[in-house]
Amino acid sequence: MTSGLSAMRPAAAAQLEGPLNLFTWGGHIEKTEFDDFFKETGVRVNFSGAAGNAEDLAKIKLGGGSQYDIVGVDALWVPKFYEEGVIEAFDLEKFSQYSDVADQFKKMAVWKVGNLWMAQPWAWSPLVPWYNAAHIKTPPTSLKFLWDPALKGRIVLNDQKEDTIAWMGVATGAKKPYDMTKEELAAAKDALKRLVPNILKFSPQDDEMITLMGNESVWVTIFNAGGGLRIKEASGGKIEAASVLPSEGYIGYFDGDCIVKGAAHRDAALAWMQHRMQTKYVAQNFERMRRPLAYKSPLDALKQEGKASLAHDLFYDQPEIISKMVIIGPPPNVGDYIDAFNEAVST
Amino acid sequence: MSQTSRIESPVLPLWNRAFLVFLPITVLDTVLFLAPMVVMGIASVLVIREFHVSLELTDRNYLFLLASPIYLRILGRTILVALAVTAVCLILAYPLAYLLTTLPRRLRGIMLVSILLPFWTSYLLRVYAWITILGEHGLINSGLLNLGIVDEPVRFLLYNNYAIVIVSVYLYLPYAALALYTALERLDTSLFSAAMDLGARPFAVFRHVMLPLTLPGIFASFIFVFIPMMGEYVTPTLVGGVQGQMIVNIVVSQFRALRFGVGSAMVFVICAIILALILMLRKAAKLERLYGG
Repeated sequence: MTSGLSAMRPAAAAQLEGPLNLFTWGGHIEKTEFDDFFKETGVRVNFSGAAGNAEDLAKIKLGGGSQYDIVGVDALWVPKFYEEGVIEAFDLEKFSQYSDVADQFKKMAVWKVGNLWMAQPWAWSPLVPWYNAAHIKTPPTSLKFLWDPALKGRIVLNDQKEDTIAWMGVATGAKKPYDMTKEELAAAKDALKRLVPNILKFSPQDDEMITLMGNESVWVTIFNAGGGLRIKEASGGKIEAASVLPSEGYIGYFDGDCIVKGAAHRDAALAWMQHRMQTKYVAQNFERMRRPLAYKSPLDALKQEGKASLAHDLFYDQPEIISKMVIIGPPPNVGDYIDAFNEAVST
Repeated sequence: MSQTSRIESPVLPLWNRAFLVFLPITVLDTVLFLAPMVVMGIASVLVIREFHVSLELTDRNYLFLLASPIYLRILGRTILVALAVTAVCLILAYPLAYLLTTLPRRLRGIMLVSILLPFWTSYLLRVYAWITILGEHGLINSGLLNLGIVDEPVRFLLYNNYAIVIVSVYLYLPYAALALYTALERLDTSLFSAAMDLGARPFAVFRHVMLPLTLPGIFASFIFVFIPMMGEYVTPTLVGGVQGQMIVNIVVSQFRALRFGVGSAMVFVICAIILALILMLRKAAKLERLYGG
């Protein structure tokens, strides 16, 4: 594997203009990368954290390429961003590390326009219920355990309203949880209404969800593959959280970074994308974020370091799971999802 | 100064000076307040589907809120919570502000700095501090458990509307206290002695002399607390729990659902309610008389 951008594209690296305005998820960056990228290219990276796909879409619409060069986007939101004309496709296959992209992503037609890509794949994970095994003795196999009255005020969920409604859709057997019919949506709303007594809060931050699990204020949350490890750390090693892949199905995501249409520093953006594909940064990101990534060589590196079981526990060696997940996306009737959520929790 | 030098000094006409004095605040208000309000005002009466704006006029964005019992209920709950916080702030701030006016000047300075001290830390930190106080494993629960008052932590202190009120009172009390202090400090206390000389009991002095004369301060405190409370987003999000949504959380959710028209209309409905309440209060308190019409 080549190391350093200058080794990959010496001529281009010398002419890059910055700063690079990076607007993406906090989990997509390793701070050491910024310094390394600057040393190699002379381009500084301005990072601002993405908040949510819909909100970010609005920001990119308003700010455009003069304010943002790269934007981080989830799964089926990527085609939405492309349809709205705020991102442009690029030739990912010309990147020298393209061969390192996992096959499941290479086959992903939903992110492709002809031979060009709308996004550079980054991470993926199923989102699964994590529960405190000391309080929930019988390992659940279905989402039904969430409605157990013994869990009153013991669940914390992420404050993503459309995803919560989609989860209710999964639980109530909706065919397409992110594109439910009126009847399915009504059933999902009713399920959430019945679940409300068990929910302590909808948290806007992952860290808060982990903290609440770690101090046993709550016993159940829905989190990505690394939830168990993070909860254990937050509890000082006291809590063993177990996960369940529910029989009704589970939601999951894959995400990536896109080039904003008309990006003022497009070349720097492409250089950054190649720079971050290096094994050391991907592996570092895996260890910090505890969820699988879309690249193969870091998995080999982890195995060589004796971390094969960690990689397995966090699904890194099981990319076939991606095809079983209900993928996060923009509901065509997102307003109805938001209303259903607001009505269910405020009744 | 000689007559000649006075004539030669470049004195601007009054209207020019006024223009220069008000220019910065006018520019600031126009750019940061008026312009966004105009944009939202226009958005609130247009048909907007996600990012596609049609120049067709509509009242549906306003009707959406007014026809939704759930959202009206949340609006009503927001007004109640805002009024509760304002009332508690006033009840606590009034004696505090009065106490300040009775202190020796040096001690008063120290107390004023103490009241302002929380502003030296971040708003978010102050809210998080309350989570560590009210939480299941927080200071209060630790105390109750250690004293043997409870066997297991109480859970009603955090993540509900009471928590919103407690934390918000803490956050807004200094504003209320300072506004009242300004009004109380200017009071002519000889009026109290005069009233008592005429046979008024202390409560009657408070009710018929002190309270009416400090109405402008009470009104200012109301504005300083009630208006920001109607727009509170962070505190309900962090300590409000699952049913702690206030109307601004709903507004944000509409913008996140790319319903810009509905979100904008909600903002104007909230503004109208705030304005109506302030005008009603002003009329009820007969402030025109105090302000001289």
